[in-house]
Amino acid sequence: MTPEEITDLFLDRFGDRLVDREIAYGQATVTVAPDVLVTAARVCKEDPRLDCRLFDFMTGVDLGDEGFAVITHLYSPEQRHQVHLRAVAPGGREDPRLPSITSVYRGANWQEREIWDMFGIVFEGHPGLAPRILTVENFEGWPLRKDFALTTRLAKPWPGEKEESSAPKRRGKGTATEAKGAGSSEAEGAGSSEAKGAGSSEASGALASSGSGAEAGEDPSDRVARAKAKAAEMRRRKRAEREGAGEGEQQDDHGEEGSR
Amino acid sequence: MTQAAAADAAGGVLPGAPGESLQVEVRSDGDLQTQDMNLNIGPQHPATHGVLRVVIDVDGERIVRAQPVIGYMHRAFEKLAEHRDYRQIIALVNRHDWLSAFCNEVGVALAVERMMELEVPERAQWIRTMMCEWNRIMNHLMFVSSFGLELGAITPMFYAFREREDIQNLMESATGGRLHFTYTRGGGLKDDLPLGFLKASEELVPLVRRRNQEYRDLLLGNEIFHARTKGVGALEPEVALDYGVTGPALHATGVAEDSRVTEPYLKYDEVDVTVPVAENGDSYDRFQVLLDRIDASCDIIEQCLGNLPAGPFAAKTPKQVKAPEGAIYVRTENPLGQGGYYLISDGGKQPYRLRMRTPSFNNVQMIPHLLEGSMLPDMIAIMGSVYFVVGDVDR
Amino acid sequence: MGLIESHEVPQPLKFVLNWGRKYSLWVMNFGLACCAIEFIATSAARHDFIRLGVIPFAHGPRQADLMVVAGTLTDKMAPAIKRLYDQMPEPKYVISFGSCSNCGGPYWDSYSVTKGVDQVVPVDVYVPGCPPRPEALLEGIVTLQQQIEHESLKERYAARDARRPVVAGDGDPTRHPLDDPM
Repeated sequence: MTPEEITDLFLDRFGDRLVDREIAYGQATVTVAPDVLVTAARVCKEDPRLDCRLFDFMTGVDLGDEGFAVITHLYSPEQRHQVHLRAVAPGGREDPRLPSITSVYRGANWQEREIWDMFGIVFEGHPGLAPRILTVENFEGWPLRKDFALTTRLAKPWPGEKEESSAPKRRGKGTATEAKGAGSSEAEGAGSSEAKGAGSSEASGALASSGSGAEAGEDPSDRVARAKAKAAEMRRRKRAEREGAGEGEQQDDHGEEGSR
Repeated sequence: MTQAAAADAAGGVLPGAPGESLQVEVRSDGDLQTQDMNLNIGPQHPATHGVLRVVIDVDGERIVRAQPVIGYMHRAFEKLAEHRDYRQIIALVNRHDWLSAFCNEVGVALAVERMMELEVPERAQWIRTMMCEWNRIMNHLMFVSSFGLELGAITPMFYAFREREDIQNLMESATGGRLHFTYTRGGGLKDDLPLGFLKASEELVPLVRRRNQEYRDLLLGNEIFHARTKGVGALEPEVALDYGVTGPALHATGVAEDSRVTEPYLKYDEVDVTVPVAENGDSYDRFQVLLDRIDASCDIIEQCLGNLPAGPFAAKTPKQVKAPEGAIYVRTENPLGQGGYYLISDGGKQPYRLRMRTPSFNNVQMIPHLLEGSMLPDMIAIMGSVYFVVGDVDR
Repeated sequence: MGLIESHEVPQPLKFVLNWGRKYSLWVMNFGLACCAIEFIATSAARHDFIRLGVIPFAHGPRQADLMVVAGTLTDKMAPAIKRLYDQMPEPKYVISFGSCSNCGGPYWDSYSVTKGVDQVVPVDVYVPGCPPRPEALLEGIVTLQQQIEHESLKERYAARDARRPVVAGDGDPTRHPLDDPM
């Protein structure tokens, strides 16, 4: 079936429960209301016109303020077409929930466990989301959410990172040793779990009480902000040094690549 | 029933002196009291093929329940990809499945190119196709050797690494890497093929074919190999599709789903691609499919060598690679099964979200289905023949 | 063994002892990721480290003298590596093979990767590269052998004791948080 036929089929079948349909790069994405997600998955599998027997993968997407969406990708080996089945989890960022499709596709089991591990989306009717499938069992926070910051990165900027052109050019006062100290605290055992959780606003409450380092009583969000400021300072300083040395740093090796 | 349990049942005495045949008289009113044993295998165990941990419950020698525990190699690729730009993620994505590095980097490059509507030069596409197949052979040689090793034959290990070294040398001459090639760039390749590459390839293909026949004779012609793999861990096609199992494990069940044929990318629509299939879906068939795939890849390489056009090896690309807003899913047939990249872009220079669909994740999820009900000694023959790479499972 | 730990061995004896030790390194491949493949390549026919007396057939940590940590160490894996290291008999050596086990490598900013195996176990030789070539591992092994050739077991044991003996399940908060047994 062509992508158009697939979206039309969903429109016929689900009517107003079909929230959105989109075709991009020859691939159909249909967004259904969460309450008909399981039915939609069953239609994909059992409707002879769709016949999507190959369960491909599921993924979560962070939509910002809207919360999270889950996309299930299904494929039909005979008809050679694919369907992206999408549903936005109700409950926003605080309590995202979706029905589980493990009753339709067995392969959804681990995929849903992974999405719960990475995004914190709870799948109702799943045989057992816990323990965390990929991260350490006592891990705190949901790593693939956009508000989960990589603390190492906040403390130590990527050496090849380009500057924002709007950044004011002035020589900062932050010293290299300061930034280094912040970076290595994450590496040291004691600071590790604390620093890890600090990026996620979810875990901040629990962490403030269990923090073991010298900064135990401090609000973690302050710490993140401070680390960010320090990183920005470092970047500004480096940039100023570079410009002082007269190196333009304009050459982008990829651009050079293409013109060869 | 264990010996101790037998002794208990026999009233605490185990009859039979050394040399005599053991005779156990079982006196029991009703059913024997046996106990399931919980066994932890891994995460660092030769039987598990990498850092995978399997917790199994055994009733005597029979596996009642199996639960793989993964995550020991979780390196957060998907999160890191959101913090790298499109050039940098190429170096990142070829590391999650370290045995199919080139196929992975092509997958993500294709996703970016399709979104940017970049026209990749013919020559680059043909070279990519050829390199994918060389990588596939390298990958399969690894599994041919390790499967032999796991069944107790150490020889294939040393043999298969000869060809692997030869192919690695060949690919290194073009790419500069032995394992992680990072040869692909958005819009083409890093560099053109070096002098002598084509000649060396032409000489290497017959060698690989000949040696592949040797492995066939050595392993498939072996009685012990037959006894240990035939009928062991048979997988049904419906179950395989339900779990999303792809690659050799799926082809062994008779389903010839291969995105090189069903959804051709690169130059696969201009070459003849044979997809070897088998019928029973057991360990033996999976291994046979693997060997057949090496031959099929040799055929494709020869066609690529014959068709390779002259021309540029990279397209002109904008200075900064920025995929337009939107989402795309690219499927490729990686050596271990179907790989996929679901790329969501917000128009920036970094991906908004890069979901890696990895074949090993789905394949490993299916393993309990095969293990439950089978014998403990068969575990290694089953796990060794589902073909997975732990980094590909955990990403 | 007590004598070797407490007294300096006479030079001729020490020479013979160390010479014997350096050419029979039973190695345990702690193969974690990509580098493990290069480790296997080094043990296979072309590079063949058995000619240097490195024997890759140790059945487990209890029979091994040398542990080669090849690949990325994750926080989830760290307790296991610590445990296996503790099971190895003294004197034991560790080669950290590849950037990931040296310092985290390309995953320097990852939330789940331990930034270097030396946070968990002491390392004798670091081999850089991503992944390092087999030749680099050979070089690392030769370096280790030179180190063994000149070392005094008394000093090694003294250093070990100073380092605080490593006990499985010892919940010292200054060490790695995942130290507790699995």
